[in-house]
Amino acid sequence: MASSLIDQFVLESGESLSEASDALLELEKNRNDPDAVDRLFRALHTLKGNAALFDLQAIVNVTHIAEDILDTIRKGQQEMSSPLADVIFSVIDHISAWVAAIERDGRLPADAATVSDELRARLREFSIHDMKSGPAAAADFAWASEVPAHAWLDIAKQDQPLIAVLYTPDEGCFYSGDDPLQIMRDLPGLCALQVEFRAAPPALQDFEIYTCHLKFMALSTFPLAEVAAYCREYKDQIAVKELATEIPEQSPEVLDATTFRQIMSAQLKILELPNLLAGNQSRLNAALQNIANALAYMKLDAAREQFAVMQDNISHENDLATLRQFVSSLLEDPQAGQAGEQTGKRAETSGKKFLQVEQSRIDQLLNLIGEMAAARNNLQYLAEHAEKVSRELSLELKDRAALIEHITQEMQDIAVGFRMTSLSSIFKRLPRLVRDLSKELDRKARLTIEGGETEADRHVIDTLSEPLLHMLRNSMAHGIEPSDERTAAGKHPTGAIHIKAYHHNNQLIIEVEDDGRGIPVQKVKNKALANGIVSTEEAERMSDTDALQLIFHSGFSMAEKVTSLSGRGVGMDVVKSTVENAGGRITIHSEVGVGTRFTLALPLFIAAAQMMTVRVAEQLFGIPMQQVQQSLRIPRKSIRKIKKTETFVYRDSILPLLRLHALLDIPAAEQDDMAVMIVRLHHGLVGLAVDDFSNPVEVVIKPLSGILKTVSNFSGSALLADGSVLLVLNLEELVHGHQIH
Amino acid sequence: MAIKYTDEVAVFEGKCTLHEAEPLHAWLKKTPQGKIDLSGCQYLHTAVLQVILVARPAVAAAPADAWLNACLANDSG
Repeated sequence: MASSLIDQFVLESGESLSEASDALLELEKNRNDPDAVDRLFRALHTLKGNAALFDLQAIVNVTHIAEDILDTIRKGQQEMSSPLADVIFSVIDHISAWVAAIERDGRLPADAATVSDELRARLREFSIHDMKSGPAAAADFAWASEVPAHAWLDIAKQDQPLIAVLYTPDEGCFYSGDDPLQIMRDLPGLCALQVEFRAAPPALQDFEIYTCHLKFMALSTFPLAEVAAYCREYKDQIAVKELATEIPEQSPEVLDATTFRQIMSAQLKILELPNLLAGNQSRLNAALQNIANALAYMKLDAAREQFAVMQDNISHENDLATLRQFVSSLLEDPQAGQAGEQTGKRAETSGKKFLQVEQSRIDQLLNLIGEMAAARNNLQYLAEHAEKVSRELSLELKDRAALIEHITQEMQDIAVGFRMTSLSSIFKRLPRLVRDLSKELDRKARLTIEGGETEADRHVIDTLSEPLLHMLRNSMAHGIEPSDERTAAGKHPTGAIHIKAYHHNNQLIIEVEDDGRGIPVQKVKNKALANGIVSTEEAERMSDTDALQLIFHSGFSMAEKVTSLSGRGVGMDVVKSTVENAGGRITIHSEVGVGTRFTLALPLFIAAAQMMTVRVAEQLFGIPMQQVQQSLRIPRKSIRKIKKTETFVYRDSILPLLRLHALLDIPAAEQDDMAVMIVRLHHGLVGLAVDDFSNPVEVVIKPLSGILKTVSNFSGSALLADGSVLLVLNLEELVHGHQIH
Repeated sequence: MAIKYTDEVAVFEGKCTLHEAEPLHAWLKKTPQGKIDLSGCQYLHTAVLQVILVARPAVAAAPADAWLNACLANDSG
């Protein structure tokens, strides 16, 4: 397969699978939702079509059967059931894995055919059609149209939609305890029963009494699904068929739009002829008939109805004018008369055109715009320098720089907008997770999502995906109590998990809240003590808020993993570090017996970041603005040593003072006044001593590459206006290794 | 036994299970003119039914059960 074709296939299949998963969840909630069945059917149908283009038989075969079953649900012949949903989910999961394999290796995994066969076998359990295409498929149901009167229990039922059942029991069925007559008498909705020898019976003398020689023909008034479900146990001996109660209406051939327009245009000319009502009635009638036929062939039902009313009321020249107007409007847009949804959908899609662009291309563009912004800064720098040479030149340069700044800013905004995606793309996966976990953990939970339309940078959203899954798992496994426990506590037996997303102060906020048992602080402290994360003294001193933060400690999560179900580690430390690496923060609020709420705050964009710059030994370093609390100067003499750590007083509390040059292992000059940047870290506020503060900058941070990748002290680098490189400090890592006593 | 045999009539009473098929078969072979009285029959196993259908004895009294009637009528012609 050509690479671009694979990409297209992967992209479209991903969309279809996601749509199928959504629709199936919906259908599981509301088993009679015709829209959800349709969506699921269409998604699998598209998937099948795409797979067929690439001859991916494993996908084609399994989606084909799934489609068949869904078709019976669409027709109301059976309902979606939880076991069937499980199998279809399993189909979706396997196809997702196969599509991933195709993207990676360009082909299906080796076991795809076997897995596909297994899935098909599981699906067949739910296939009504398979009942018909089984060993008894060749069964002739001609008898069903001529059931003699004596076979009917209630002859009045013969006008109802009926299901015909032909049962040819195994000859040895008596030995397995079957009593075919009884089986037929118990058939749901039985209304007629006939018994025949399947072949001319032997003479009485030679009759084998323990061999079943009979076959049974029955009619039922019950729905096919129910009859088929009853017969499933005797699947290879019974054939079931729905009898047609009416001859389907022959659908007229559909005209193409051009022919339709030609016909309508000709009729319009006739309608414009003079004296139609007075002397040319026959021509008028012919035209009216032609219009009616054309509308019928085009299946324009709404227009047909409208036309029928007009046709009955043509008595005046004004009526003809209205009719001409009606025909003209149809010439312009044949769908014009079609009311409701169809028109709505057209309107929705006709206005905008969309292009699908690979994300990496947008990133490339954004990077270039970022570079351009840096070059623009360079120009400003140059303009300031030029002032020493010529004030006039400097002013002109500044003028140009301002223009370029304006343009690049606009470009940056637009390019960042390209990457803005709604959170619904990741929220979509969550209902499925809750459903699966509900089953796995035997907890009842209802997930509600608010603000799925909230947008953020694609990278931010991608970063969020895993932490969100972790948090949901955490809520399901540890928050939501089993139903009986909830009922005993006076709560609703079904737990509630609410996810809310919104923008606040140019940040993306996501709250994950459950109404579960909450986190008992003492238990957290005990566990942290047992795992050696805190000492007894520290645990005693710790406030409840601080104690809750312990659940984000890697040592804490490690212990949790051992007891977590299905080997799924909760790993809240991973959640915290992922969020913080993306420049975000996570906070927790929990109340025993009431529930727990995690709040994530992330930057809306990762592209441009606000940095505070500081100087150490003539080198410039960047500190992400969201970590900066305050910059201040403190006299050397106010620094106190507690054990081995230097401290100082900040707003009535004692903060540890860390010297950046020591952390970075750079020699530093001693000064009387120390420049201290108060920064907010995991453990709380810390004072960071630097040589001097510099200006805040807005920069595009690039991850470190090459051998620098392994340096954990820096989270990335950015190009500054003067062309120098700013290294962005990873303060958590830097301070982590430095034990504060 | 749910079937009581007289010289001429086999009287079915209550539930006639699989085990009735063999004695009925033997009786019908021995008594070609024998009649059956199904009026008290509440249940008939398929094996018994097919013995009746193959032997087609005269029915002295029809079963009260409508379905059984339908079955016996079906293949009688």
